Amino acid sequence: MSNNNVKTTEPVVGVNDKENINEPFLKVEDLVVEYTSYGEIIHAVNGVSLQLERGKTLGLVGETGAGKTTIAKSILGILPKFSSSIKRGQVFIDGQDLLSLPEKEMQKIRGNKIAMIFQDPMTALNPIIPVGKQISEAIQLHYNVSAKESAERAIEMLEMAGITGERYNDYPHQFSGGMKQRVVIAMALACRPELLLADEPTTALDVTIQAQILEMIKELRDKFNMALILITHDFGVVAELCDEVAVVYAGEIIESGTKEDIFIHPTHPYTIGLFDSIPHIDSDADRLKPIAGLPPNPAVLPKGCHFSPRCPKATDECRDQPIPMVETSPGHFCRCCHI
Amino acid sequence: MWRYVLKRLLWMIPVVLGVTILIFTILYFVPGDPAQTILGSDATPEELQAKREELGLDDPYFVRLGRYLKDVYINFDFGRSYISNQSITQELMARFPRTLALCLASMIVAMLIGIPLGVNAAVHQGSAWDTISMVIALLGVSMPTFWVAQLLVMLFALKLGWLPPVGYQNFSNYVLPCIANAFNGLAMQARQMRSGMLEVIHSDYITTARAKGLSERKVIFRHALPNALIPVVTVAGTTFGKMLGSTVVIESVFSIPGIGGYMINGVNARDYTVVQACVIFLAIFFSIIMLLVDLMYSAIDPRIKAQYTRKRGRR
Amino acid sequence: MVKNVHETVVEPTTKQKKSSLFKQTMKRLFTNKGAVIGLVVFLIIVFLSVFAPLIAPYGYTDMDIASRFAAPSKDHLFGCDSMGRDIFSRILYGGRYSLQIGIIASGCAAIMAVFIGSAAGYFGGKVDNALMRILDVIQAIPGMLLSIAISAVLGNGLYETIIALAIGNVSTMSRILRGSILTVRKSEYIDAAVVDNSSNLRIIRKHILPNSISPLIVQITMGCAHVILVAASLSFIGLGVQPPEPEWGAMLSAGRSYIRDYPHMTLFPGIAIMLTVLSLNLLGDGLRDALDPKQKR
Repeated sequence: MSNNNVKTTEPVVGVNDKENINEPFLKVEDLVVEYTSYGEIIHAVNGVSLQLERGKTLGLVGETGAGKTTIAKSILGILPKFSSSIKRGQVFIDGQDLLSLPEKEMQKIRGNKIAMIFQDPMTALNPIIPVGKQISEAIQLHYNVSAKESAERAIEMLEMAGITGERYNDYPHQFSGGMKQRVVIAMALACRPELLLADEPTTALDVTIQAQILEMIKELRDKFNMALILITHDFGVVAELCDEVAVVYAGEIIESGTKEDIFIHPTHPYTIGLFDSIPHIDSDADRLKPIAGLPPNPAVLPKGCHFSPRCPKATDECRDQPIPMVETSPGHFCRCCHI
Repeated sequence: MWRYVLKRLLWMIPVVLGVTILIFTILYFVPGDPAQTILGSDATPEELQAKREELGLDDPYFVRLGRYLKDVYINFDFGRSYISNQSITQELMARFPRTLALCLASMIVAMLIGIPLGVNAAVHQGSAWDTISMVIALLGVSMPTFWVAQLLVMLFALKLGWLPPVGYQNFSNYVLPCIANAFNGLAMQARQMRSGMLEVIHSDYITTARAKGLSERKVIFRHALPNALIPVVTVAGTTFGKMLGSTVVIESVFSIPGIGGYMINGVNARDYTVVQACVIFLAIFFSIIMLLVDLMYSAIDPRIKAQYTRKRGRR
Repeated sequence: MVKNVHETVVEPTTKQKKSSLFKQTMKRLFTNKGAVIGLVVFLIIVFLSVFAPLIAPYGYTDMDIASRFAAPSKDHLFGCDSMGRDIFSRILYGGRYSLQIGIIASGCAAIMAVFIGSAAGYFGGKVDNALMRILDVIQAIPGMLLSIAISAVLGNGLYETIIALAIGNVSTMSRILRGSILTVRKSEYIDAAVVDNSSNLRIIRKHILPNSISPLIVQITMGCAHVILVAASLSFIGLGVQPPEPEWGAMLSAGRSYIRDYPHMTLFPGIAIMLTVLSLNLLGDGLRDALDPKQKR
């Protein structure tokens, strides 16, 4: 295990080795999350289940608003209290149910065992606190160390993320977007998390910076043997980093499998549609084939398959009842009745 | 930082001069003849003419303006009252401490109550606390300050007899005026604080702070509050200006002989040199307060400071 | 693989969108309980003031020496004042002053603010600088004191007071509009309009103002409330609208000497001011939330 720092605040979960060998490191079971907005109920996540092992990367792929970020925030337990609620489901890490943990215990896990990188580095940092302080704050919180030592470690983290330590006292507005994202990553990794949730970590950045940041995440993942959930709508990023892929549509996983399963044998009409709407330089097709229509309004979801209104193969069977997941080949699941 | 302070200080000069010119010009057009006011209705035309010449009232506008500016800013002399013939500067100095005490005390009360009220409402958004605080705040911005003062007098002075209804000699005399004057301000602060806080609470960096594993307390006090205070500091300046205005009326309700009372006497007696001096004096005072607010603002927000410092953000 | 991103420049004011935007705003406004209460109360107050001659049981100058200082009763709902005039009737008539002052003064201020604010915000540079410095000077004088100075010059009376208060409110409104225009000015659809060779006036009128006016609309509502408060203060200290006109602030001023024995003279005009201002503030809050949906959910 790479985690060779002795954590004086021992996570409640206890020692990992004692756990059942067959239990996956992260297991999400039947997660249902709802928001309320102007009296309407928004069905953001509708029964999502997933698993992930240490050192592996899962890509959550889907359109904006499909519920990817909500899944990540539920795992970390940072959904807005006022407007959202987890209706059903469990999140296990090493066999321990996070959703039933009291808030105090959860705070020990957040930023420590599980960390998150946010989409927009421009707004993810507190504008009036020096960046180094924002990193050392987490270190001081989770390891019982002096202010001086946490500052030293924060500088180490900054340098690991490719920022010179002397910028410790600089404020976020003095950094460029790519540099800010490096700070955010340094902050997320400051306590050597075992699970990293990366929410579109490169979407807001230039292409060249994107590549640098992805490379860095990849390196650090391998160095610390982290489990990584990568949220993205970019298949290029998936191909680069992921072992497994789950395609999310309207708050449901509609297809999941290894990267190869999804890239070589996409099965769900939506997944196929996604691939068809990406331009290929070697293809001789004159035009792209976009998916017709728009994602459904999450306040009023279609009764049967949520994709049915846009699906070229849809039949009455699809529109009538919820569609179960079917295993098409070992480890490759698909939520469609026309396979 | 010092560059900023210096720049801000220098900018005060044209503002204060501008204010003086503006007020002088407005009151230049006041109808009526000061000579008549001074000498009364039974003065002969010769006497009136002599008085006008003595006061320089027949000189052109620019000559009079220049003389006034010179008197005020070089000799520190606001002239003499038409009615009582007393030195206005002396009168202002004698009265200013009372107005200052009332304003500052009200402002402190307003901030000490208004800010926690707003923070609490935002943190418990949608709760009964939130609703009650915001109803209080809404009443505060909707009730005329002098009417609040009258209600307080009716209840605490006349009915319960706890505090004196008028006067200025003792501490107890200032309790009711201070509460009355603070009510509107605290309501403004609470409303601003709540909306500012809500905006900040929903921002990404607060989610980041939560994701770090900080307790809700630390998230609110270390990350959200300092950011939400920035707009509140700006509003504090405006609030102070409004308070300065309402102090004028409050002083009259409680018969406190401050600058406000002086000004109202001036208005009622058509003694416009006094009105002019009071407005200019209070405006200068307000400018100084705004300067302090701006400096405070730049101390909290490193982005402002950065515009005026060469060095990269080191303190 | 290349990401498939289409960025299109869409301006939120094509005809059809505008009406739906308006509808959405109205929908949000009417789901806000506070705003609806505010609007209803305000409309009731307007109604009562407009039809005061029909509703009021007495004329506002009708004196009845026998019922001097009469306490509230069936005959005199809010009691009578020192000259035996019915306070309820006077408050109904008085609403005409407060509402006129509030609405006309904040309206005039808004019109002036549109000129100053759009000139400063749209042209920027020297024009902006000059205008803002002038506003700096005006804003260095607390609004109430400026209004006192101006009404001292203009004298007492309804229209004089309106002018004094309108001038007192121009600077705040101009600044708000300018700030809002500065944000809109940066939008790409304004660049598109500039490329189209539209005239400045046309760009301001067709593109900038419709997209930046909402903070000003909120400020007009709030400003109206503020103006009513200041107008009452002015009358209270002997400026502005004066007795025997039944202006609410003037009525409060008249009640001062009798506050110990006849508190109803102080209570009811104050409640009238409070309700009017409160309704406008509620409406203003609702408008602000409805026009800026992203702030609260």
